[in-house]
Amino acid sequence: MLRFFLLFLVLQLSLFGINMLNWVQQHFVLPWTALLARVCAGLVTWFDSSAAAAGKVLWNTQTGFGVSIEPGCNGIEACIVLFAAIMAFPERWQHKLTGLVAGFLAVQALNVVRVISLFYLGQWSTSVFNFAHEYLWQGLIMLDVLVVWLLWVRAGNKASAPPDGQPPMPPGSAVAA
Amino acid sequence: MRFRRPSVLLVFVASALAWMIALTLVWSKLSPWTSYPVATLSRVALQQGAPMWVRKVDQRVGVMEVEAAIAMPVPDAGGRRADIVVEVDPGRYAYGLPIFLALLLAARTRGRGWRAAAGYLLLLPAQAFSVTMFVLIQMVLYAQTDARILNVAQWQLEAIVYGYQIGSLVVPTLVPIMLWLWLDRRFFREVVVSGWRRDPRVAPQAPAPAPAGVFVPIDAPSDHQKGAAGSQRAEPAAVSVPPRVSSARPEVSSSAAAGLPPRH
Repeated sequence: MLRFFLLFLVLQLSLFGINMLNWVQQHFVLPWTALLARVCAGLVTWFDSSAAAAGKVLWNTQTGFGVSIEPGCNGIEACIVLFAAIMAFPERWQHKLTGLVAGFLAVQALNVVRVISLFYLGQWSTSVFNFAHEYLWQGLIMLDVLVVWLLWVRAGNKASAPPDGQPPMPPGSAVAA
Repeated sequence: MRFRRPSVLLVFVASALAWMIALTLVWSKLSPWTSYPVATLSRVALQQGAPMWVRKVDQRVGVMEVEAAIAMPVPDAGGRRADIVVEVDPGRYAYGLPIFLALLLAARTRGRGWRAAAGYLLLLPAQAFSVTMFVLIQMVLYAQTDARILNVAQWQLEAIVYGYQIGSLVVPTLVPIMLWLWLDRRFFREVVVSGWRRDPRVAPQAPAPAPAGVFVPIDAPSDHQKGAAGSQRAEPAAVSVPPRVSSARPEVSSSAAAGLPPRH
């Protein structure tokens, strides 16, 4: 468990540091955030023609209300946590790769739901928006990360079960010990 | 009509979600009181860690006011400087408490009371770290990120920016989850790592060792056995299992093992 914990911390802090570099922000984070805003606007316009995206802002063209997708709201920090947890866990590389791809999609999918829900909550009630934005959705996104990671660990255990049914020493035993 | 019993993990996730929403609502009302110790820890950290920046810290329920010891430049004021006071809600980054409690309640393991109390206490330093970094970054911003005004090295300034980012974006939600995983590791061990053992869709349990010298009935081979034994045909007869001294598995039919009730 100590090895997993230390490796997780090192990876987490390193990836977070890399994420903060200006070059990474300019070439990866900001374009990704703008793409996220466009995706959200594209989804919202299916049922609400008044929504539009301008850079990293999703806004209502009629009321002028908009939400700007800032660091912490673009899902990248949550992905970093998940990536660090997957990479630090003792598993096969192929399974890790699957976890990284599936985890990224799962976190970003929920993040799209977060942005769209905040867009409408903000137009409805500022206090509800503040509560959901500052507290509730922060926890829900990290719960998503935890669930994806738990499912990924469990899937790895199932895959490594021998055909004769003998319970193997799971890779996770290093963590559980 | 048969209903499949939902998996333990599914129940855990649904339960955690419901608890998280309910507890976050409750916490938002109680936060000024539950977060009071956060301000106390943060005050101590600021006074001990940055005495050259902090003149005075006032602490009340729901509010902490930090008076800076350095006069900060006022933009567009002809180089004049002003004393500043940073005001912060100590509960600003304390929403990890409902996350931790939600996971604890959803896991439904024994000893939730002492774990909840331990979790509350162990979360306080992390929450104080986030609040402290928030106060420090406010001072850095007031000083227009000028290391000379703050009388610190550039790397110290970078460290404050990094600490603030970590303290505001990661620590509030990650620490409660890691704390729960540590305090409730039995849940992780039994439900996640060993969860496949209870899943009926995967391979059955290993057979229990048969007592030496007893008659063990061998039924027709199961699908699993057929696959393993090819086209060989098992004799539908009772055979005697000789006493074994080694720890190897006794040669009993896997169908006997398949008939065992699932382990709970």
